[in-house]
Amino acid sequence: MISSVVARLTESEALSAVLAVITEWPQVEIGQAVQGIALPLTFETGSAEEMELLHDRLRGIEGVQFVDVVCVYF
Amino acid sequence: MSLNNSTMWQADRRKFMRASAMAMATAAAATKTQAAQPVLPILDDTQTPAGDVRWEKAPCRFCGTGCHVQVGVQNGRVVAVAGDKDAAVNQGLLCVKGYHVGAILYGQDRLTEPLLREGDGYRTITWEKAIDIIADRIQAAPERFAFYGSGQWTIPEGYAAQKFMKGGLSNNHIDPNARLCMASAVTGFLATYGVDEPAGCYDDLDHCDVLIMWGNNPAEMHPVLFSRVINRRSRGEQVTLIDIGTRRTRTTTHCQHYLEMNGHGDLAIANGIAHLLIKNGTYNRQFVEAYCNFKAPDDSNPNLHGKAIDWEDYKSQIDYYTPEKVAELSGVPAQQIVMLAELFGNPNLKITSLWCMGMNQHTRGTAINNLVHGIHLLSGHFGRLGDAPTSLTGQPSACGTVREVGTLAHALPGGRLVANAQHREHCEEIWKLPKGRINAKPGYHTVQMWEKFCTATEAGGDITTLWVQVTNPGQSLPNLNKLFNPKAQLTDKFLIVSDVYPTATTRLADLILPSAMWVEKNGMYGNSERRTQQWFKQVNPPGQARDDCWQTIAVAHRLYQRGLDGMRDRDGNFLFEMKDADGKVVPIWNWENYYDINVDEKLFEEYRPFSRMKHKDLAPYAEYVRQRGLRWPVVEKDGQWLETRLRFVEGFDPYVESGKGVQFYHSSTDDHRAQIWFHPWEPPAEVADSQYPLMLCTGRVLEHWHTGSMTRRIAELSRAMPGAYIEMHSQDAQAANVRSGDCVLVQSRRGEIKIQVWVSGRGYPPPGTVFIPFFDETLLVNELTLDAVDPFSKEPDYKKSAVRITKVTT
Repeated sequence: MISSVVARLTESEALSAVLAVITEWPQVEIGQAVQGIALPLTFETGSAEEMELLHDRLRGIEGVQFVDVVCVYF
Repeated sequence: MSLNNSTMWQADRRKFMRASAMAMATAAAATKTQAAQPVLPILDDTQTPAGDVRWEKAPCRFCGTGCHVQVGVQNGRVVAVAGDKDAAVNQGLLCVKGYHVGAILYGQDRLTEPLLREGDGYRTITWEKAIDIIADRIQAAPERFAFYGSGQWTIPEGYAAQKFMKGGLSNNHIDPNARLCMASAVTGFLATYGVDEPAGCYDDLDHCDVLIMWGNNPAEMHPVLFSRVINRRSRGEQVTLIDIGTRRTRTTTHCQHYLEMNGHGDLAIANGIAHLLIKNGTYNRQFVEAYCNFKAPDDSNPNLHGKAIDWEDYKSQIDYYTPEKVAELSGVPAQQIVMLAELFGNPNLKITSLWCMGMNQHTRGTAINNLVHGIHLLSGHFGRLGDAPTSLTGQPSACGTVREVGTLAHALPGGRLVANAQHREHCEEIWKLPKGRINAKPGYHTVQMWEKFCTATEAGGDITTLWVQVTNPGQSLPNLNKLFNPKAQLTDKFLIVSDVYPTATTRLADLILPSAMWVEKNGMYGNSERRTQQWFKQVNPPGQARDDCWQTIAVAHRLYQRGLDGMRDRDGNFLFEMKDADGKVVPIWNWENYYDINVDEKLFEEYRPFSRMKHKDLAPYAEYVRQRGLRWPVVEKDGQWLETRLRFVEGFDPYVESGKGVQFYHSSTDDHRAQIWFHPWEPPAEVADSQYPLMLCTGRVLEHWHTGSMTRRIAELSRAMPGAYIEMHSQDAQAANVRSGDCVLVQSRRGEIKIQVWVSGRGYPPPGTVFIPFFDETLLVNELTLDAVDPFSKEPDYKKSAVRITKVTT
C-alpha cells in the first residue's frame, strides 16, 4: 500500500527539523519541498493500520501544520 | 530460453506506484503553496466524502485506455473523482491525469459565449446569430465546406456530424484528427484481416508471457494498462518486457530488453524475425497453412490490398533480412534480433505486441502494422488470451467514433465506403434518404483538407469554410506553417471552432462557439479494446456553452428551415427528427428542448444496425447504462448481452463457425484467411544530413494529454510539467555547447522554435536524436515537423524530422 501525501509546514524554518525526524523512517520517500513549506512524501506500508499510524506520527511532528492525503494506491 | 532474468523485477510495480505517487504529491504540494488556486479534492475509496455528494460513473475524458471514474457532484459542481472499482479496465486505479480529470471543467478561461471576429478582436454574439452565420457560409457554397472532428467526439456526436455531412450536404469533406494518430493501424488491420480493430483485448496483458512494445511508452501514455503487467510481476509472475524504440523512456526502465533502433528500423526488425522463423523452421506451419495467405505491395498498381504471392515468393523476399543485414538497417545488434525470433519461435509462450503512435506515425505505417501482424500469424502467436497484436489509441473514442461510426472522408458507418454503390444505397435506406443522395467521391483527408483551406481560393484552395469540433489542429497538425498558419492571410476563408477553452486553433478562428464538455453532456465512447461506454450529463455547462451535437443539429435545422433539400429525408421530414414516447416531435434544435428526450439514445439506436454489418454488434443503449462498457461484438443469448474477448476465435467469437478454430470471416480474399505481408525496408521520408544533422521525434508526457488544452489548466499537472523542452543526449549537448536550462533555436526546413534544453531528462535519446513533447501551446513543435504521409492511411510521420540546433545566447 502506497500513499501520496503532502505535509504542510507551519513555516519554512521548520523544514530541516521535520526532515531530521522523517528521514529516519524506512517507509518514507521524501520529495522536493515547495517553497519550504509543502513537503511531498510517499509512504509504503503493509497495512492500512500502519499507514494510519504513520500519518498520525507525521501530524504529531512539531512544525507540521497538517497532512493532506492526495491518494492511496493498493 | 529462461524468462526469469532477475528477482529485481518483482519490485517494479512498487517502484512504478511510488514514482506516480511522488509525482502526484509533488504536484499537489506545488498547488497548495498557491492559496488562491481552487483545488479539486481528490478522493479515494478510503475517504468518505463530506456532505451530500452524488456519485455517478463516467469514462475518463483523456486517453484511449477507457478507465472509468466515479464522479462526485455537489451543488451542481464536480467536487471529487475516484477510480471506479467496478470497472474491468482500471479496477479502481487511475493515473495522475485521471485523478485530476474533474478539474478540467473549471479552468478560469472557459469559453462561455459565441464570439465573432471583429478586426483584431472578437465581439459577443447570440447563438441565433452564430447559427445563422454558419448556415449562410454553408448555403453559399456547400461543396466548399468541410468538417474537422476528432476521436474525442462522442459516438452520437460523430454520428450526427457524419449524417449531416454525407446524408445532408452530400459532402464527404469530413475527417478527424485521428487520421493523425491511428489511421495506419486501421489500414494495417484492413489489409491483414479485411476488417478494422484488434482481435485481442486488455485481458491479453493479464495472460502474456512476453510483452513487446513497438515504439510505445505505456508507462507514461497508458499507465493504468502498464500497471496491470507490472502488478503481475510484483505477484511473482514471469513476464518478459521488451521495448523497441528510438529513445529510452520510463517504460524502458521496467523492461528486461531494450532494442534501440534507427527510424524505420522496425521494418527491418519485423522482417528479420520472419527470416529467422523460416530459416529455423520455427514458424507455425499448421497455422499458416490453415489460416493464412501471402501478400506483397503491387508496385504497378499501388493499393491497400496489394497482390497475392505464394510461400516461395514470400520466402525469397524475406531471405534478404539476415540478422546481420537487419542490424545494419536498424542499428539493433543481430543477437537481439535472434532473441526476438527465439521468443516468437517458442509455441509455449504467449506473446502480446502493443503499439500506438510510434508505429502509426510513419510514412510506412501501413507496412509496419502489416509486418507486426504478420510475425504473429507466421509464428501462430494469435488466438489465445495473451497471444495478440494489439494497437492502442490515444483518444477516448478514436475507435468508437472514428473507426466504427466512420467519420472519415472515405467512410460510412459500419465499415462501409462512400465509393461503393451498394454501401451507399444501404446507408441511404437506413437514413431514409432519396437514392443517390450520398456522394460517391471520397472527400479530403486531413492533410489535404487543411492544405486546401490554407491555399488561396484562386490557387485551387477549394475549401473556404471549415468547422472544427473537439480538437486543436492549430497545434496538432504537422508542418503548421503550411497547413494552418497561412489562414491568417486568407481573408475569404472562414474558420469556425467549437471548443471549451481558447487554444492555438481559436487564435485564427472567425467564429468561436463555446462547447459543453465531458460530464456536462451525455456521451458514449469506444476505447482501444472494442469497449463501448456510456455516461449521463451530471452538471450544467457554464454560461452559454452547449453540446457539440446540439450545435450540429441546430445548424442542420436552420438549413432545413431555409429549404435546403439535403436536410430533408425522402418523406420531407427533418433529417434529425426525433419524437417523444407519445409520438410528438421534440424540437431538439432549440437548446431549451434538447434534453427533453435523450438525443444520445435516439442517435445510438439509429446507428446500431450499422454495427452489425461488420459483426461489430452493439447492445441496446440501456445495456451500456447498466455496465462499465461492453466489448463488441455483443450478442444476446438467453436474455443476456454477452461481450467478446477474442475475435475470430472459436469459443470466444460468436461469429466463428463451429469446428473452424480460427476464422477470419471478413478476409479480403474471401477465403476466411488473414494475409501475411512482405514489405521491404525503406528509409524515412527525411533523414539527417550536414545541414540538419539531428533527427527530431515528437510525443507526449505523463502529465499532459494531447495538446494540453485541458491538462495545462489543471494546476497540479501544469506545475508538475510546466512547459515543453528539448531532450538531448549529453554528446550532442556538448557539441552544441549547451547545458540543461539553456535556450536553443531548433530549426527544420519548415520552421523554427526557441526552447529550453533538458539533457538526460525524462527520456534518454541516443546521440543524433532529440525529442520535444507537443503539449505546450507556447512552443509549437509542429512548426518543425514534416507533413509527408503514408501512401494508404494518409497519416503523417511526426517522429522523424531533420533539425539543427543553435545555442541562443541572449
